[in-house]
Amino acid sequence: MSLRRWFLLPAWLVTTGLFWAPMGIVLAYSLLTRGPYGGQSLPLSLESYQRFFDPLYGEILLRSFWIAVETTVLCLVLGFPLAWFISRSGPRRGMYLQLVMLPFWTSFLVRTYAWVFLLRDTGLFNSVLLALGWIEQPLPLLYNHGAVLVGLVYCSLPLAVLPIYSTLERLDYSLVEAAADLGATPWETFTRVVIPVSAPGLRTAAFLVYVPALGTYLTSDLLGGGSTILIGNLVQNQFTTARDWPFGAAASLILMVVVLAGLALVARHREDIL
Amino acid sequence: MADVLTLAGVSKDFPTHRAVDCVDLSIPAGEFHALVGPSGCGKTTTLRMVAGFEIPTTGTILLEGKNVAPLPPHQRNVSTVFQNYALFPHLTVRGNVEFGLRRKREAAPLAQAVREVLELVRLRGKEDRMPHQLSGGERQRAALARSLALAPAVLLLDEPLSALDPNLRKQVRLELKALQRRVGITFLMVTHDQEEALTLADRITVMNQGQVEQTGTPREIYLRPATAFVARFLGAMNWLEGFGLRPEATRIAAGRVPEGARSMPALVLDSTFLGNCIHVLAEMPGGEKVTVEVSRFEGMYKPGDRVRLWWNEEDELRFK
Repeated sequence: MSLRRWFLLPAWLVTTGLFWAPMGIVLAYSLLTRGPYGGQSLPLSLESYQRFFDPLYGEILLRSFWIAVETTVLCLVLGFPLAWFISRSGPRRGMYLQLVMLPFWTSFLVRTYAWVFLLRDTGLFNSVLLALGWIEQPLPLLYNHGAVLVGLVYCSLPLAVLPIYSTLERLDYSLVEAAADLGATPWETFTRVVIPVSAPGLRTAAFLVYVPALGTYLTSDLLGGGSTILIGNLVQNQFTTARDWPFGAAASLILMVVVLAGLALVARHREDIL
Repeated sequence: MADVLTLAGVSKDFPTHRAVDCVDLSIPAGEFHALVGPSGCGKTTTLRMVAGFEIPTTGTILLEGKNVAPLPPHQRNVSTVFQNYALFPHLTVRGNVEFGLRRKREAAPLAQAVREVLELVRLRGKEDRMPHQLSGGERQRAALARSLALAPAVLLLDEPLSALDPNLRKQVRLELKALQRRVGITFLMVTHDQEEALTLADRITVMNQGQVEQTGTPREIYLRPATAFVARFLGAMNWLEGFGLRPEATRIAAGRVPEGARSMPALVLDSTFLGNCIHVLAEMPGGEKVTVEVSRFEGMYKPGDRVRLWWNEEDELRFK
């Protein structure tokens, strides 16, 4: 074996030991039968997969998909102007990027909990609105779809800003001037030049936001309450309270297929993904 | 001919300095005009103000009689060929040319207009290429086509030849001039290359430190420079006591000089063979060093030769 191949060995070991082997175990579990007291045993069956086709789970999957799409769209819409602003702000770019990265320095759990304190009935928003006399009753801001969406967008936004920034930073500004020069209004310049030219960054941003958002369970657990169970919560439940590992394994594999299908559909070029 | 473009008292202040200082410029329709000067002289800023990428701090820019100084680029009937061409990388050659046209015309004349303008710049058959599949010269012509398609009142060119390799540059220069004659559109070109300006332009404006030093035909600028700066910037110059002399107007003789000519003794320091001519470096009694351009038929001069330099009085260039 040449020296170069030896360099691959650590990565190969990690991938095999920490990705393929666990995936194999998950696949094996998904094909087993749930034992009467939890646990799992033979015979092999596809029962766990069949159970997933219950409309109840279909609804959960659809809801997860939908909230991931909403999160992605919102992150792109909010992230693009921010990335544009940073890429055009000269020597202060480094500082702004640090600010975008700043939330990563704190625990994800703590940041999500912070939203509980902001959104709950006695939280900051409701207190201020009550104090101003704009509302009589606290608004139901927490434990609903909107709260989960806010939490997801908040956590994913930096992941969208960074790849968009990196393409905008390389964007040749004379293209923008050329478009204006050829009679395009600012809006036309944006839709016909800036967006197409920065499409690779937008695609990368979409993947980086969409994939984790689809599998989220902590955000929906903390901010969503019982009414917004997502597929991540479903999987988590099967492995903890429900003690139905085969079904949990099947659900997580189905989730993975959905993610990969989404990637294959949107990724036109492999290099776009990362 | 009426002036298609007139700049009156145009200035541009940037936070740190004044880039353009009270520039006046009139360009008649159909003229090929070159703005030249060293880097930082304000020529590019001037061009960008005509294009609409910069708004003048003061002054008016009359385009076809209308003040366009405060208008954004998309509301002006000018078009720019950028230094790096700024072709849209996600569009084909056709897509690039159609970009500006699409807003103006319908589908059928559009296809014809694209065909015509690509014919003009000899890019027929390359309609479906992407910009990265074109050579440097083709990219430049695509950028020209994209701008010419709009039939602008003035075509602005920002160092249009500087991105080409030197061998190609001379050929493209001739093509550019022929193209301008054929389409009859007013060209305003920015360049730092004096040779480019002299060969291409009908008239030249020399700028220095944000101000116009002189405007005139290439002959006027070269033969009758208004300032020492212009004389130095366009072509080489020998400085003798109180006046300047072009190297090719400075003559050399081993013995007698022609009747009526002015002359001085000199010592040959060096002789450089340049192929088409020879540059002889000579020192005057006062210590001034002078370059003399000599044809190879005029004989050889070696370092240490004692010679006489002579010239005609009308070739002396005097400045304030």
